[in-house]
Amino acid sequence: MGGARFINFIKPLSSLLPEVEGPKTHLELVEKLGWMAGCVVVYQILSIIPVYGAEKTDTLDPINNFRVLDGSSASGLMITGLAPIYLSSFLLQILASKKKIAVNFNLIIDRVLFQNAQKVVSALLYLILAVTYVSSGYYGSFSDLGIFRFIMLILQIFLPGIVCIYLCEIIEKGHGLGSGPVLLLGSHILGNIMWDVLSLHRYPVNESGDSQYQGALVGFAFNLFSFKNKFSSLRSILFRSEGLSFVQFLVCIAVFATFMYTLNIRIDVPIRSSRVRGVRQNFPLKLLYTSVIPLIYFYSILSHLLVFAYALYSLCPNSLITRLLVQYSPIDTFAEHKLQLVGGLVYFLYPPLGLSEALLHPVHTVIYTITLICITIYFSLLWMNATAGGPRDVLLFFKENQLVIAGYREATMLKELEKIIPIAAKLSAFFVSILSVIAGIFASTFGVGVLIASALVYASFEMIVGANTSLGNGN
Amino acid sequence: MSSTKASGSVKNSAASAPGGPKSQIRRRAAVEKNTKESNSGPAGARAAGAPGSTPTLLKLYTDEASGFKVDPVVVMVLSVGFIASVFLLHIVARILKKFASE
Repeated sequence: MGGARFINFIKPLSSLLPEVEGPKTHLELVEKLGWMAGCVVVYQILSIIPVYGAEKTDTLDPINNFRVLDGSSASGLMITGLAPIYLSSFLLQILASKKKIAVNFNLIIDRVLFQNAQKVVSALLYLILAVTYVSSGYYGSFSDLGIFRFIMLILQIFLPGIVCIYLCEIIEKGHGLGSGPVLLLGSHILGNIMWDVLSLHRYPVNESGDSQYQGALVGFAFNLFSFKNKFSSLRSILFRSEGLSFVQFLVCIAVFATFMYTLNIRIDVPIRSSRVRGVRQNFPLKLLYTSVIPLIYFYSILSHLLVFAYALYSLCPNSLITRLLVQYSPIDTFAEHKLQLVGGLVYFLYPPLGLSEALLHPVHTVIYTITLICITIYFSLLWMNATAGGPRDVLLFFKENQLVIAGYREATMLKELEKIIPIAAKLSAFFVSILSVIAGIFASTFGVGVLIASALVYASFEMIVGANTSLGNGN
Repeated sequence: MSSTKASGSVKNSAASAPGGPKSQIRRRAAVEKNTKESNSGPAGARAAGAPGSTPTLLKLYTDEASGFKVDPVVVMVLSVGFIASVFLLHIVARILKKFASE
């Protein structure tokens, strides 16, 4: 084939990352669930174990609440999260569908090269993020650390990324069910929310030694039946900003209910067989055609931007470029320790988290909302075409199964599909974007987390039930 | 009945003239269309018939290669080993610090 192709160019690097073997025998459902649980446990442990060798600095976390959404943890080994895996796979699949990189998906060898390329790009992104984190002084400056600890820290942050890549591959090679990145991200979000709802951990809120429960439900129940400082404690648990408050917890439930309701909204396209007369059925075209995939893609890009912005800020804090791109304001109270993003271009890509934030900075809220809607609609259309969901692919599916749209001739079916399917993709992105902005304003990243986790769990459930018909029959 | 059949056959013979200019144009258009479609090819793994990402779910690995492979048990053992090594580093550092303070 003429010219060097990207997937061939990246092939030598693939040998550094060997492939996981698929199961030799048929695995029972229980075994698959066991593998999935094992992968989740490994991932959670990586998020909990702190990094060895970090200097005890008072570094404030620039990503703070947003870590709920990208699978990362501020103090653990898994500080880079899942964003590199999502970004590399989205990027390569979209580039391949737009023919920017030449991949012939009809050939198995090309498909294998393609998935290896995804793996290599993920690993490279993890390496870049690891070097960026350590170089930016997040764990202490180079002079404090020394060369040995510097390299040790980079390895500690990079290797969990490789582990993540392999956890995803284990699940998708057939040892588990569904999608690897979806399982890990969903479990991360749900774990965070569970922790913030039911945690018994207490944290100080003022100099007098008063403390509050981290769990919203636990704190609400406790303060409801206690008598010491009843009303101030109750107000704190209801409306606090340093963690999930009880009101935000209720909003999360509302977001979940809204999303579940919207999942069932669809257009039924009447179809019939072109061979057998009289047989009629419906082809469901769902409102949430691409679900939250464009949103996750946007957030994976934002995660990378936040890391690079912080590195830029910490390395040269007073330069003109830094002031143009990113401005921080430190928040260091008894209850909250973080670096708040308050200005710069990156600020307008960061969601408004909290009602006061949204109201006090309306320009930011409006610009963010419009930007998010435009970007996710664009991503939604790209993703639709990349995953056999476009009008031509649906038409091909109809032809292969001898189906026609009732009331349309074969020549005009494509026009009809080209009318309704892109609209479904656009509406899907629009609705999910609006819901995520509202969820972010009223329930911070937890509301958006519930939205994303609900979509991921439902999509996984759909795929699993579709692949295992015995589950759907209630056997 | 016979008159209807006769008119049908007349229509058919009129419509399909073998080797005529209409059929040639149609055949050439079909060839061009097939060429165009084969050039474009499937946009993703799922469009090619292999299991891949769907509009609502992301999937990365669809096929098995024939090169060097690793058993998933080995991957899990290495991952746990990595976790254990970092954990041990913390324990050793704490012990050393304790001895140093004493």
